Amino acid sequence: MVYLGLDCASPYLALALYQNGVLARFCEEVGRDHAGRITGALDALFAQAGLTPHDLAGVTVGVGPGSYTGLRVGVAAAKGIAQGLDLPLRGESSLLALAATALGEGRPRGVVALDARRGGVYAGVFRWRPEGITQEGELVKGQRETLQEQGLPYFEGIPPDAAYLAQCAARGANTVTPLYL
Amino acid sequence: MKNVPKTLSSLSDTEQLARTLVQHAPPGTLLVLSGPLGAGKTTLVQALGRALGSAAQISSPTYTLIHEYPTPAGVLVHIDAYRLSAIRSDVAEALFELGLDDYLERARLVAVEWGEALLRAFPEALIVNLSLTGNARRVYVTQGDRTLV
Amino acid sequence: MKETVILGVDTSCDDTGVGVVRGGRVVANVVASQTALHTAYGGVMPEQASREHLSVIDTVLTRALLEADVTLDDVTHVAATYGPGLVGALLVGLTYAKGLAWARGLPFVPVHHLEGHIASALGASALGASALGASSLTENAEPPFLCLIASGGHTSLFDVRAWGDYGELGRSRDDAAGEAFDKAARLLGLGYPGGPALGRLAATGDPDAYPFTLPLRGQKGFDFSFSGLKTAVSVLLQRQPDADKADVAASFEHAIVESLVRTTLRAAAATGYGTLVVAGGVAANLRLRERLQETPLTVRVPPFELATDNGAMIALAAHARLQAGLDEGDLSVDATPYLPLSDASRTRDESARS
Repeated sequence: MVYLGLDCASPYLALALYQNGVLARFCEEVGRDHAGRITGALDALFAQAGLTPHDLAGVTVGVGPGSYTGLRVGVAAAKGIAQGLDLPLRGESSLLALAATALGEGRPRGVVALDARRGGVYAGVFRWRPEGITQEGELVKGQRETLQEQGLPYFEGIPPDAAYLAQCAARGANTVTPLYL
Repeated sequence: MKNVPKTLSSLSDTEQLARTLVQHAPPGTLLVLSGPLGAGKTTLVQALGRALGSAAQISSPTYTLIHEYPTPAGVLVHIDAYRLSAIRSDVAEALFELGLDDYLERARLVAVEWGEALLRAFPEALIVNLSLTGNARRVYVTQGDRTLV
Repeated sequence: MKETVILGVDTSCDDTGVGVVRGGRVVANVVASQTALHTAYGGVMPEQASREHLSVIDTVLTRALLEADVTLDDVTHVAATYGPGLVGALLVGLTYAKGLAWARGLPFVPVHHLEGHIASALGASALGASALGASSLTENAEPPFLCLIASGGHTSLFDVRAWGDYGELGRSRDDAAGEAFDKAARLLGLGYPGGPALGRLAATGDPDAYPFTLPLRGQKGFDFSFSGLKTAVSVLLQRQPDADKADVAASFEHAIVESLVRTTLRAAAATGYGTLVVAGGVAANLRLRERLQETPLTVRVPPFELATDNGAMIALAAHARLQAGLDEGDLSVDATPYLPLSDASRTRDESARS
């Protein structure tokens, strides 16, 4: 069962294929050019894995929070791919994908934040466990400095781990609701 | 700002103003256009398009609120917040919901008609105030508490 | 050659449209209108429009496939509008369609929104005359012909020399005709969208009651200008608050229709074309239809559901492009909010890259 994960909520375009482990990854900082790059990146991803879209069993897309434009591109592309191949589509927080990059066995807990513009950030506390990553408490909008002083490792501006999203696709479809930032 | 006429009596005066504004405004600048209907706000945006090297036919964005035009210098965004001001008390918030941040990030210039409500969030915005006396158009350009023209 | 089954997607403004064209005939045309969403705002709200497109696009496609009685396995091409329009709105339909085409390995045909309107002339025989009952609906138009597009967002006259070869003869210098209808309707207290309501009210009024000056009289070109008419209505209502609204509506409609018709007739004389295709929401205006029937032109008006924004017209345009042997285009095309049709003609790929 091969799963696709994709995230366009941040300046990164992140894609991954997963089947009992990472089969292929694509992650580049594209600024706001997700739309222009996404099909080329998908081609590169599948070429790297030696697979075709017809091998897919499910898709997960990062639903933000993120920029209006990035979210639209990510969710619209994911919907097109999933519907085109009659696959279950799942939406997961893009912060989970960031947490997957930041956290691991040696560093199981931390604050993951993204720029909310005009001085603020959106942030959540995340915990890594071998069976998955969970968010502790609510997503908050606050000041960078305050969040950095919580005594937890603080992560901002890191690329999302699309392979974690792909892994989530095994859980099946859910309602995909973009969180426009 | 130098060489800017304080009254716009011809199209070439407006073109001169537009060229100066373009020189003075770094990429991503918010330009608030203030003045009554018929004061020449859209005409100024047309001149801004030409000053940025675009031959695009610029028209008023009343129907869709936003028009954007490619220019050799980057995207020129033209927003008309008049309709928003009629339905929303928080025009600035309405403009943010419209994706103003996204536009400012990627645009060469974002010109907003009836956008005075944005000045609190963007104190560094350039304000072009156009007023109509008889057939002449008086211009004030301010930024923060400085009067540039 | 295998019969083509083309999916067409349009999300350029406030309607989510997906259509299916099979062997050149429209077999599905589903449009999810957002009018109710935008009514509260007195017009289109771009961000809300984009979000709504994204939340309904997959359902609209499913409905279109059901209506067409085809499955995705039957689909041979995917087409979508790439401009002009609201960038966020365009991005949804375009990216969705690209994702679908990419996943299925299907050729992708990017279509200019106005090329779609022009191609709606090909939909007449497909849907038959049932929609409006006029004989002019049963025959398709083939280029060359003159095309008047009049909607809420566009008012232009095109010289359609061949599929993929369009020259703009004139356009509105300010408001689009539909926009002027909406604005005048608001002045008359008719709500949004006001065009159809204004048309109904006008039918009961005297079109000669208030002789508005026709815009751009004496011009050599074929441009339109409707902003002044809207202002004239505003001034009239200020000066004469008791003016009969039906008379005002009828007089205003008369002025718009005369302006459209007279400029179109001059363009027909200049190009020598005897066939006129009218598309866009304003094509539904009864007075405009009647007035055009009085002219010597052979008038082709697509059925209403093809005249307003929809996905089937995009699939029809793709069909016309394929039939004419034009390039298919590819997945690299990006959403392009400002896009003159002349840039999108045969040289579309070059303009998309620049």
